[in-house]
Parts: sequence; structure tokens; C-alpha cells
Amino acid sequence: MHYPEAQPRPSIFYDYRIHPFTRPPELAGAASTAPVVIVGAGPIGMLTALNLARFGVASILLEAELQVSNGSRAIVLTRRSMEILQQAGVAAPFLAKGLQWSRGRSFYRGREVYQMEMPHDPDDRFLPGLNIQQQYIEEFLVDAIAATELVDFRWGSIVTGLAQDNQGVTLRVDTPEGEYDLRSDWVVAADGGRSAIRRLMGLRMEGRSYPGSFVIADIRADLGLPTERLCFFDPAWNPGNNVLVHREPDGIWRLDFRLPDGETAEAALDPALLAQRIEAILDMIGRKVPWELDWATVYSANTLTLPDYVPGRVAFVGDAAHLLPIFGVRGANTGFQDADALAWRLALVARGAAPATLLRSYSEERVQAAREICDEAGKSTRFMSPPSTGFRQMRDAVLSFTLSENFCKELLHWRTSRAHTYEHSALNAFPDHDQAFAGGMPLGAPLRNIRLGEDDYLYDHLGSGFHLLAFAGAEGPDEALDDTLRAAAEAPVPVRRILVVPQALVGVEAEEILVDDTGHIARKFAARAGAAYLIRPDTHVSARWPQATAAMLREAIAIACGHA
Amino acid sequence: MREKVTMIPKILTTAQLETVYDLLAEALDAVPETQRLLYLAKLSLALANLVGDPGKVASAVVASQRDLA
Repeated sequence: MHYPEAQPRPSIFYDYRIHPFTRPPELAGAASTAPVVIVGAGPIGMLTALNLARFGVASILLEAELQVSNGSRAIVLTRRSMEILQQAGVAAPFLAKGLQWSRGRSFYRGREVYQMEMPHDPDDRFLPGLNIQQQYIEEFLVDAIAATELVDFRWGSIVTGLAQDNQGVTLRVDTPEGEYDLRSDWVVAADGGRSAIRRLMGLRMEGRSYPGSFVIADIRADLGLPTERLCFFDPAWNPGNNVLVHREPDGIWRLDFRLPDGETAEAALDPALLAQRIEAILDMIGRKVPWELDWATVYSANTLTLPDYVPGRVAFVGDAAHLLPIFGVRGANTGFQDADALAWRLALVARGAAPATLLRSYSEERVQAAREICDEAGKSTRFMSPPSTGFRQMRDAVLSFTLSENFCKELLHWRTSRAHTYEHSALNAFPDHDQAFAGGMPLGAPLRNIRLGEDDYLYDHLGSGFHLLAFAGAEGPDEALDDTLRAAAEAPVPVRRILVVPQALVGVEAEEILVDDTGHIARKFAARAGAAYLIRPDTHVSARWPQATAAMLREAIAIACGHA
Repeated sequence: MREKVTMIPKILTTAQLETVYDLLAEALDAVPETQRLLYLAKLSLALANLVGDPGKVASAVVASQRDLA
């Protein structure tokens, strides 16, 4: 019998709500097959469920606990994550609650040695970072799921067994009222870094783990500092190590520091020692103010990934698929991109509108992305947490230079999580036509947001499913583009048509018409009249043509749906 | 028998090498022993930047590793 904690977790800023376990029909002996079962209702599992629902596919969502995340955990969402949440229709509460930011400052020996200004284009709706505690991330997703009919949310349900065959997967589920078997066509493993599904399937991750442990501690304190990322290298109270400070909503601050080598997590979380170090950090930033601890934990850095995210009928997402370093906010933000990449494909496959092989491209794209991240974030990790004497010596050399020279300062900035370009995706089509563009977004790239006017951006005009972004001249679409627009409407999968025209037109059929009187949109897409972009449901470009035709669009849609 | 190695090219004149030799020796002497490793790490990084060619830096790294003992 599984007995999840039934008391709300303690917190000084967040009121945990208990979501009671309710008896599912399977406990009364009902046997049915669900199209999709998602294991784990963290941010990534919930986003997957929400996106599947958006594409019309029902799922059962299993969560071992009865309440949201223990502690603030993932606190920084990137611009790309916000775009993904906007597509899922849930961005509003995040914007209302979160703190947006774009700058970081790094200090060494009491001097500010580096300012990191993360890129922000006037065409972007969201700033590069948004700080919000994971409790809120999960709460907002729970609320959004409650508003759909298509997700059967089962709290207090833990998976203890898994068997799969060619037709589907049978999960053994333990609950406060007993065990049952749950049969599904597909399983999504979103059960986090210590994934039970990964363990039950005997899968091993590839890559490396880094020595060195870090403490994160959330405190409530009135620091009176703006929303920026602060980094202190080699402070006097913690020689050779570093301290990160992030602002969170509700007057909470995240303190993050590396432990002296050899110190255990148990020792580091000793209340007296932790308090002493928090005092030292407040002293270091010149804010000796009263504080109260909310939550603390210890983590270490890994660059690990499964080599295949879809072994059989189980698809892995988020930390269940990969363990990535905290530097560059890689965890939840990479997971959101996984969920975004998986959901539309799984929806098409579950509905029988695409072959199961479409999921291969999910694994290929996202394993490749994880490997790139391991490579990039590995570099950052070796700087932030030197794994050996040599790395420490070179890190110290760079820090020493920052006081008097500029040439190596960029090494103080770890690369931030970004949207990946799936340039080698099997779903990309017509590479020769792609090459004919002088600019714009290449094959596999994420669709760029474009500012259309006051509080009005291109992403605000997207729906679910594929999009055809077509560009017409002043006279409207020519015959070839007209045929292409009609082919989009008649496609076997939903394709929303967005027609960009230089001036208002009447009698043109498209779901959206954007009047581009300044030519700004056309310039950003390097598009002349007759051009078109095919955008996948996860807003990545899968084909583009300077002169689109209906036949090429039909072929590109078939390729993007895995029919090639 | 020694393995055949690819030697780095001689670029400085002998007179220039002698000048650099003295400069480096005096600089090493001027740095307290506890800071010498940090100093050499900084010097390597600064020289690598001025050389402007990661391949040349790599060949210097390999060349300097030989016959340390």
C-alpha cells in the first residue's frame, strides 16, 4: 500500500493544498486501455498532459504525492519556456506572479568584474528570464489541467511495475486503497531525476557526474535588490567556491553555494552551520537583515542522458530522460522543450494520424539537444565547479585576470538554455528551397516572435497544430500561393493559415490575416510575395519555400508527420 | 628507443630567446612560490590569447609535457 504524505508540507510563503486520492474504476475491477498514461505530475508531465489535451488526446496522469513540489526547485523559466507556456494557453498567471529579468552581475574580491546582459530583441514578448517557484509553476498547471476534460489526474498513485509488449504497456499502480493494473497504448515517463520507470526498465544514462556538492537555501529577507542574477566567486567565507543569489516572488531569495570539498550533504544542512553560512552570505552582499529559512537542499552537477528517449512504447521527458547541470537553467527549461516536442507527435500517433515511427524523430531531436547541452553546460560546470586541480588552477587564472584584463571575462558567463535548432531533423523538407532564402529562420529553427504592435506579437496569433505562414503581395495571393493555401485547408492534419499581406485585403481565405504595412514581418522571414513557411505544432520550421506550391506543401506535411 | 616527435618550429632568434629566457626567469623569481602556479597559468592563458591560434597552443601544450621527469 502506498501512503503519500497527507499533511501539507511546511513553508513560510506557500500554502500547500492536499489533492485527495480518488478511487479509479480500475480498483473496482474495470479494465480499459487508455491512449496515454503520463507518470509524474511535475511541470514536464503536466505540460505534456495539457498539450495532449490541446491536440484532443485524453491521458491519465499519475502522481505519487498529494501535493505540489517540495520546495522552490526550478526557479528560472527562459523566454522559450514562456513561449511554450503561452502556446499551451497558460502564460498569464506566470507573468502575473513571476519576476522577469535580463541581467547578471559577477563579483570577485569585492569588485564587480562582469555584467551579463542576456540578449533581448524588441520583437520578443518575454524577457530572457522569469523567476518563479516550482510550487507556483505546478499550481498553475494543475489549475489549467482542471479546466480541461481530457486529463484524468490521479494523485497519490505510484508506479511499481511495468511490462510492455507490441500493443501497449501495463503499469502496476499502488495507491492508498490498493494496487491495480493500468493498460495503455503509450506511457510518458515524466517521473523526474530518480525515475522509477527508468529503473523498472533497467535503462542507463550516458555521460558523467561532477564532483562537488551545492546547497540551495530559500530565505525570506528584505534585501531590497533588483531582479538580477548575482554571482560571487571565491568569497572570503567560502574560499575557492562560489555563491549565486536569485530573487523569487513573495520576498524569497535563493542562495546557492558550493560546499567545501569532502563535506557531506548531511553536514551542510545542519541548521547551525547553514545559518552561519547564510549570515556570511548576507554579510558578503552588504545586507545584514533578519531572515527566515523556507527550504534547503543539496544538489550536484551531472551531464547525463539516456541514449534513446522512446524505448518501445514508453517516451521519456525531462529529468527522467536526462540530468543536466543547473548552470544555464537547463533542467525544467529543457524539459519544457521535450514536452513541447513530444506532445504533438504522440497526439498524432495516438489518434492514428501518423505512424509510430514519428516518435523516432522526437528521440533523435531531443537526444541531440541533450548532448549539445551536456557539451555546453559541461564547460560551464567545469568553470563553476572545477572537477580537478588543473581546472581549478585555470579558473583561478581567469578570475585573477578579470580584475585587470577583459580578454577572458566571457568565461564568467555560462550559456543559458535556449531553443534548439533541429537542423538535422528527419522531419525537415526541401533543404534546397531553404537554402534559397537570404536570412529568416532556417529549417528546424524555432519560429521567431515578431512584435506586431502594442501588446501584440506573432505568437499571440498562433493556434494549435501546424501553421502555414504565407506571404502575399499587394494584389493578394497569386495562383500558386492560392493553391497552397487551399492545400493547407484540405491537409489530413489541421494546418492554420496565417497570411501576411502588405495592405488590407478582402475576399482572401485564411484563419489569420496580418497586415504588414511596414514590411517588418516579411523582412524578419526574408520573404517575398509567394513565399511560405510550414511551422510544426511545436513552432519549429519544417519547410520553407521562396515560391510555395500546393504539391510541395502536401509533401512537406507528409514528411513532418513521419510518412516519408 | 625514443618515439619520434613533431617538434615545434623555431620562430624567435636566439638573441630574442635569450631575452625572453631572462625575462621569464626573473618574473618567476619575483613571484612568491605559493603563487607561482597561478602565475604560470595566467601567463599561459595570456600567451595563448596573444598567439591567436588554438592549434599552436595545443602543440605547445604537448611539447612542454615531454620529458618532465
